[in-house]
Amino acid sequence: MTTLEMLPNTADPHEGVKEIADYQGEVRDRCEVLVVGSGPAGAIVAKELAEAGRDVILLEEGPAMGRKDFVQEAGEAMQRCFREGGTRASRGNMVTPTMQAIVLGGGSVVNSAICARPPAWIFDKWGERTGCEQTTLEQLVPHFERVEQQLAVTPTPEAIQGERNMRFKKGCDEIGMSSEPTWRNVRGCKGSSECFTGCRNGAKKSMDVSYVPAAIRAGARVYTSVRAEQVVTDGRRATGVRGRVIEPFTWKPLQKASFDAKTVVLAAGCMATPLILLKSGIANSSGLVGQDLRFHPGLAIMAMFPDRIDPWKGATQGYHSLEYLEKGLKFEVLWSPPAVLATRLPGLGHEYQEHLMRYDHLAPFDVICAADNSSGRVRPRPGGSFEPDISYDFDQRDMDLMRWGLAKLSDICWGAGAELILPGLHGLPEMIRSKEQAEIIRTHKLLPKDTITASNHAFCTTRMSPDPKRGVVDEDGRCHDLDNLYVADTGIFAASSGVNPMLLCMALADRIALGIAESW
Amino acid sequence: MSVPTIVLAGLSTTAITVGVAVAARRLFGYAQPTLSDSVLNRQEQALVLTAADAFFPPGGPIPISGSEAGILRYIDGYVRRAQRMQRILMHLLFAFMELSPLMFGPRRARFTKLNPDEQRTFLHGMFASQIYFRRIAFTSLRAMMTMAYCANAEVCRKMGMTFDVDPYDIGDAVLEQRPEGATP
Repeated sequence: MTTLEMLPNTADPHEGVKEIADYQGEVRDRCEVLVVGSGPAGAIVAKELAEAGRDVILLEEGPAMGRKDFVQEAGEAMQRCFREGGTRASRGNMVTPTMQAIVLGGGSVVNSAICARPPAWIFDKWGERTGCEQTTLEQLVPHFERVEQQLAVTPTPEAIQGERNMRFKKGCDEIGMSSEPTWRNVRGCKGSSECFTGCRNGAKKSMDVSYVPAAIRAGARVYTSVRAEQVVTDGRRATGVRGRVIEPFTWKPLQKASFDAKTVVLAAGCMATPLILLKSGIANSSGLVGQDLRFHPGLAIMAMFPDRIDPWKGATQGYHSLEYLEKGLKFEVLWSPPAVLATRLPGLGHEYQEHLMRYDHLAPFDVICAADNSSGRVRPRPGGSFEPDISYDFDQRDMDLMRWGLAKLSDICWGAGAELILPGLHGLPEMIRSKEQAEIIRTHKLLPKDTITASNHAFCTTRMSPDPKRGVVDEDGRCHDLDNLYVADTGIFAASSGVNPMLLCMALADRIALGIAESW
Repeated sequence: MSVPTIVLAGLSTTAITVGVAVAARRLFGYAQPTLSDSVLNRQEQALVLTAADAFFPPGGPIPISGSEAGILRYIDGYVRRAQRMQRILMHLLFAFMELSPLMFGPRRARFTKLNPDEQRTFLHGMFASQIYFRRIAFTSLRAMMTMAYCANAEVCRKMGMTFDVDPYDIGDAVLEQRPEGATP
């Protein structure tokens, strides 16, 4: 297995991708394998099965976006690339913003490209939870290796870390906590900090510029701006998918689209896939479709330094610490469009402006939590909408763990040389000026509603289990209720991945694709 | 009916009509909209303009006020591009902002009728409120306002913020390099 052949950076990576302008009237096609969703799971399934000689169609609801289409202004970028304009949030015992992409390549276009393997004990927990036996680190290593090699996953070099990342390392070093550069699917990253709004350098090897072009080279047809709405079945067999053409950026449904297939693979993401299944009225004999939603809730502290950090320079998330992973916590450097993070700055009026003027001295760090005690669900909204109604309750035990993590994060900030920190928590001072004063984070009772918690890692809504009563799909990704319907996205996780979920999602998708190819 | 009675009745009717109109204007009236082709109605435009300068007043360390930074034009575009459900929520947010001083003070008047100090008191009340929904509304509005403010190139320049695709002058050659595949 070698690195995927990458096109020269001047070439159009989306050549051959069908776009809305190509569609005249109702869109119809047929194939052997229909893959719904072009994110980290779907793109891999499409490419591997096309290379295995299968006739493959890949559907994507969003448009293809090239380097020239990416804008840095936060509002417009989110409205173009994210579902519900980036304002999607769960309800429950707090409002949790959660972002899912709607673009060819899915979340890989707008995430920080972090590729982390979960440790072996994560899969032990999966086994305890749903009885998985074939899903262990040892069994997944070949798939991790295939994906890592094809995407040339490498550690973030120091030359492009920038001060924001290096201060995190310094803070960890000072308090005796391990940290390491993140491994990422990038090539020639220049440290422009623009992962969240799409890489204008073309350095990030997101699915739309890596696996999707490889799938097309192997013969796959790729339809963008087509939303899968219903899986058509005949007894225990899926026979195709019905949907609509969707106008890019206005998201208006247009003409019908229908695809017949011998095998269907749903990889629309852990929010959309359960909606398709529930609206189709299939694969839910366990009653678990859309249930058991898991997040990695995340909280950030912003550290203010006496010297310039220029946080908009450097790898988006170049450093992290896995030391407390087994405790359920992962510590990272955080970055997103500056205007989004600026919302967290304290003060009003001129005071707020003063903080904006000091933005170049800021560095945000965050902690994400496995949240094993918290869960939610996804179901269709009333009125026929194809956006999900998401509910999630953040358990107080997980909140207490997060508070411990925030205190540790505060230690990292002081170790890094911060002169003050901005905890952004209701009921605590807006600015904390010393390590001693920061002890309040350890002692103050924190409720979920006291925080602005976000989570873009989501999973388990179609979880895997060898037992049809404990899971929606088996360990090969096949729905227990149908013979030829598969799910390949993060919905199949049996529990938290502990680390960023993309690499695990890709490894599982690789295994599912090879399994389908082998059994054809 | 005598002429004086008719005149008196006419004057009374006129006075009442004018009185009602003045009262209605105090209660519901808004200036002519700034943007003629806006998806925001005149009340919403007035609210956004007022809130823009409440969040980013003139004469501050960044010498560009919210209204000067073009926040109204930005928010109009943002709402225009939003999907139907998000648009509805944004309109509700604006209505909540405008009317909630009637319930929460500091004075029983619409937000746009508060003076700058009262607006600041009201916003701080939202930020620190014990009511979760008020805090979420505040955060949502501040997020929109801040995105709009930071979309102004001059504001970014004052903040020292750059969008540099190659901040370390690495050049394009590195994009074509093929690192040896490695596993973490």
